[in-house]
Amino acid sequence: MTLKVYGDYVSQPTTAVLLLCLANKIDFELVPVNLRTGEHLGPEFKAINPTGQVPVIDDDGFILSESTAILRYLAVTRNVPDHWYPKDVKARARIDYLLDWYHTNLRQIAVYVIQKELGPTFWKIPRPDEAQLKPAQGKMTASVEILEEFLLKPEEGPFLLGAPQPSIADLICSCEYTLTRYLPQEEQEELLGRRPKTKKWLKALEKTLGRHYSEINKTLPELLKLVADARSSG
Amino acid sequence: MTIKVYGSLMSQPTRAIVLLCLANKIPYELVFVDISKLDHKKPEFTALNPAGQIPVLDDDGFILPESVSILKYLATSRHLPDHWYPVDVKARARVDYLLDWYHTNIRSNCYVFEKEYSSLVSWKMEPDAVAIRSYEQKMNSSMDLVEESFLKAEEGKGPFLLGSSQPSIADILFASEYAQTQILSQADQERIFTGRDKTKKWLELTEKTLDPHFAEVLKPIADLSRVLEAARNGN
Repeated sequence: MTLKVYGDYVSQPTTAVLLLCLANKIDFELVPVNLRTGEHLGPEFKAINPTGQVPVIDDDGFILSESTAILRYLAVTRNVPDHWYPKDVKARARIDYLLDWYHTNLRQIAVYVIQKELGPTFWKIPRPDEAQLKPAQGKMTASVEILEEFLLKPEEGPFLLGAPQPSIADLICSCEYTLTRYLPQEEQEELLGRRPKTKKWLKALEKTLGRHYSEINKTLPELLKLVADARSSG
Repeated sequence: MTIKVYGSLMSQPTRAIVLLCLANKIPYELVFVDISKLDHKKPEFTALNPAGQIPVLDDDGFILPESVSILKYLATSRHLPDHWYPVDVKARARVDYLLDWYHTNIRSNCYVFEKEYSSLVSWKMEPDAVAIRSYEQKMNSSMDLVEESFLKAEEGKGPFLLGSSQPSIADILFASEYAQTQILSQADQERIFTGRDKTKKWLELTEKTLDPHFAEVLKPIADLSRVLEAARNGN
């Protein structure tokens, strides 16, 4: 039975799972769950995942949610090349660390972008003022700074923690950065302008997985326009 | 070489690692990092973990932050009994799910911290009423999910998280997190656990499985709890 992935392109963790599948020719069927209309909070989806969060997979009846758990499970069950989630105990621990750090730190990008842009655009949440945004913005900037200063070692390799080939950590983290595209141009420049190692890392991933990123980001232009329009109309 | 665990028994994730070590006789040395004095933000510590968070593991020079990764690494590298972090792909995926969900959900320490002891740390913060309400809401919805969806003993499945017949590292981590509520007032604790009978049962069983270590590791929390309760009673 073909793997089912319940999700929405606007959800970055969903796109990370799709990216792993595309990069490894894992057949899947995307079952759309429309976050903008609140489909994820309806009884039908909650029957599949009581937390109402995407992505969720159905692997021939085995239901699993949490993107990073899904990425690990697919890497192992589909026997993908070792670099995605190495078997070596220490190499694997380093990937696990990055995946945990993503949850506790880098996911602040989503918190900020949702609060500032996506919430007001898609769910008619009142636009927060600068003071209200400050905590999330601070955490986001701190995380982006940590990745730039400590988690990239281009002298060793182009991917996270100096790896020569990408891992599932590179997928989930890079997909998170895509969210910054929803911010005004000046803000994107502010965030990534002085972070050359980050830009280089994102380029390296683009080079390795180019057409797959295009596939997972295919609804992005339309979504970006909606956000920009909402911002200019106040 | 004995592993070093940088952290504090006041911190739920640090406790979980110490509990795993004690339950499996893994020799360890707890290197105290005093977060009330902002030790975790000082350069000697951020050299180990740039995110400035405890706990951090030093295994003979192999430095690893993030408690969930540390728990997995110890279970694997020390070849612990399978139930702690099963090798079976689906059983492991279920534990991974719980551990991932933990990060953004059950991590209710913020409520306990904000309400009870943020004013005790050197940062001298005033408790933020808005934040407390928001954390409490989050904590409640997380606890509801554990009670309603993660505990399946009544469905004829095992007594541990997600119906497992034996405890995993997820049970240790979650139980350690719930234990932080001991710092709250008696009234608050009662309120939290009212209507959460399955949770109470699972907690009692997990603590029992890990005793005498659970009580031992909770001693600093129990001490603080007594001090705070005395202060509440005007003593």
